[in-house]
Amino acid sequence: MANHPEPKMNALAQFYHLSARKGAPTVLLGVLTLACALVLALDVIYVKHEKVEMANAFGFYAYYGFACFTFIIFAALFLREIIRRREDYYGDQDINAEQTPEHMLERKTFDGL
Amino acid sequence: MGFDQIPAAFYFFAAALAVPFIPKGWPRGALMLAIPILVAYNIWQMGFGTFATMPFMGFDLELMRVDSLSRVFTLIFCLAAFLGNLYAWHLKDTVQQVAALLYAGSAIGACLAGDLITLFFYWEGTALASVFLIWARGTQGAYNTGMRYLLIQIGSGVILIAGVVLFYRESGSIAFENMTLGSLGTWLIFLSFGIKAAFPLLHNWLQDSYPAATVTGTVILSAFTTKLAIYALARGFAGTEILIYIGAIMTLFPIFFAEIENDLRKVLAYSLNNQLGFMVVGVGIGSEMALNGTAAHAFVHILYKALLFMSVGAVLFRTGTSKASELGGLYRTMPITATFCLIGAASISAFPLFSGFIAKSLILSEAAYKHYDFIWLILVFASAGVLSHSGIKIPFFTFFAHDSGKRPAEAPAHMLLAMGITAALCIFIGVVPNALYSILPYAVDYEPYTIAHVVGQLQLLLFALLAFGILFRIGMHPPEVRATNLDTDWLYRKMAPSVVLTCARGVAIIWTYCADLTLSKLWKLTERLYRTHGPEGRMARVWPTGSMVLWLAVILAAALLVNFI
Repeated sequence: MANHPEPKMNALAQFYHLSARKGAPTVLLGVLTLACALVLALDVIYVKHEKVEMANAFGFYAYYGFACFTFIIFAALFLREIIRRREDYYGDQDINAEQTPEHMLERKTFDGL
Repeated sequence: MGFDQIPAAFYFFAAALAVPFIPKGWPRGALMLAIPILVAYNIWQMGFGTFATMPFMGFDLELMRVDSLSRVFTLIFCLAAFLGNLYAWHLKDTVQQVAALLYAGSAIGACLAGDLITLFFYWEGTALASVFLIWARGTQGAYNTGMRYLLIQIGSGVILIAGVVLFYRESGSIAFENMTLGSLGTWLIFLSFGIKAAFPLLHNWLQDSYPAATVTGTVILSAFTTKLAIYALARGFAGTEILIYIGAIMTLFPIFFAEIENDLRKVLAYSLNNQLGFMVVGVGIGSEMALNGTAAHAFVHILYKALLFMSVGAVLFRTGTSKASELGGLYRTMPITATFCLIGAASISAFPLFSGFIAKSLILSEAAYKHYDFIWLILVFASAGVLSHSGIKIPFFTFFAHDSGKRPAEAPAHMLLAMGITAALCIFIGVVPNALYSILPYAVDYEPYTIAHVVGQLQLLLFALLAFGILFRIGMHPPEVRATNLDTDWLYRKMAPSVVLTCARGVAIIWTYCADLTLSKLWKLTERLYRTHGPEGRMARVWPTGSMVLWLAVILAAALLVNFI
């Protein structure tokens, strides 16, 4: 599939393609940081009445979300070290090592090939 | 006999019988779409009550009990069957079509079962019908996976009927109502439900089998078995406290496995396991609000999980792979599928205005209200985990991230239509929550769109996204690599055969030693006998007559002597 000419993208694809522009990740991260700052600041405009006491702390969900995600990633990296094996670990008669059978597919590229 | 006297499942079974005789193409497809609509309509308009009873071996079986709990599950099962069949419109495989109808019918029949014996028959029906969706892949790997799946599923049914027999002996009743854990019978029934609900350590049939099914089979599979188990738990064990802790563990452990899994359909299977955890917690709390949360979450979960399986399935359908290490950048030629996948991801992550937001919060709020603070913290943690593997990983590594160079065509029109309807429902339920709340088992007194809830949820999700952005930029996010990650299936796929082989070798060594020892003793005995009795042996010598007479005389003398003494 990699040898096909580049497709003419429709409007939706072109919108998504903005993310592939040089510098786009930095811009996206910047926008995300601003959005985070905004929702964190929103904590001051209302009074919390959370049932769980610690959730009443300023920005609890923000800190907790950031910490949980970071923990999950590092724990997953650690777990991978323990449980990772070759792709054909269970032999060649395992779906992980098999090719997907063609009868259940309808391969087609964007140019109809 | 009125229509309300015909059990809902029988419509599906009749259609399954008819399908082989109906021409392939639109007539068959139309039947497969019409049946779920017809059944949903019947259930919707017939009102609550017990319909269709049948005598069986001295018992009165209740084949169709419609109440507020069974109705909501039946309706979502019908909707899932409709969407799954629409997604599979292109299919020409009669076996898969029959299996899909029998499977959906069995799941619906089980939901409407008013007694435990009826439940058992439909319970086994789901196992037998669904395995053909795995075997339809047609490879040796799928056959092996299907056999493992079938053993576990049938095993669950056997445990169920054993539990039912014991329960009947204890209570004298086969009614499928709320039970209290205590006796062996109730524990067996609980275990049986737990296997299908993918409790921790009993879960791996799910991640083993769902990625092995066909493109369309996985979408169908994702809807029924596990949610039937959730319904059964809600019906039979609501308020059983141990479920709160089981559910909390279920929300946690799949997150880490999903994060490092390469096959995206397996990632979704882990994600499914994690979502079941929220529902199990709701059942464990057992209040009206929590059971509403469980039913609502099952309803929306079936939709967004099907949507995610559909979008990854469409990619597999066009490219031949669902492995993240081989995908990326597909938005260029599959932008509509990418959009639907993003809607599914936003729904499962519980962004405001999407379906997950208005359902999951019912369970979290009730956990906090009932002062399960630690459980609540776990559930919030798991919510961030859902974002990591289903909210980010699935769409990002499939449609964005690096360019894999693949330029597949957009999904076929019927798949896009199925995804479009599902995506629209995910948004509709998120925007108009009362549409779902109105069909829940109990009256809902809950407002999801409060400023505290919206801001809190946005903080959780956006800051988790920020963590992803930073970790990805600094290269700390787990790369997608081809691998097999061990799970509990290792116990019966590697360890158990290894233990059996080791034991067999030990027995063989002992047997050989004993046999050798016996043979050598026998050989020595033979040799000794040969020496004495063989042709050259002393006992075989030709004795002279004189010698014999002499010995005879000695014996006679001895006899005389003894006689005189």
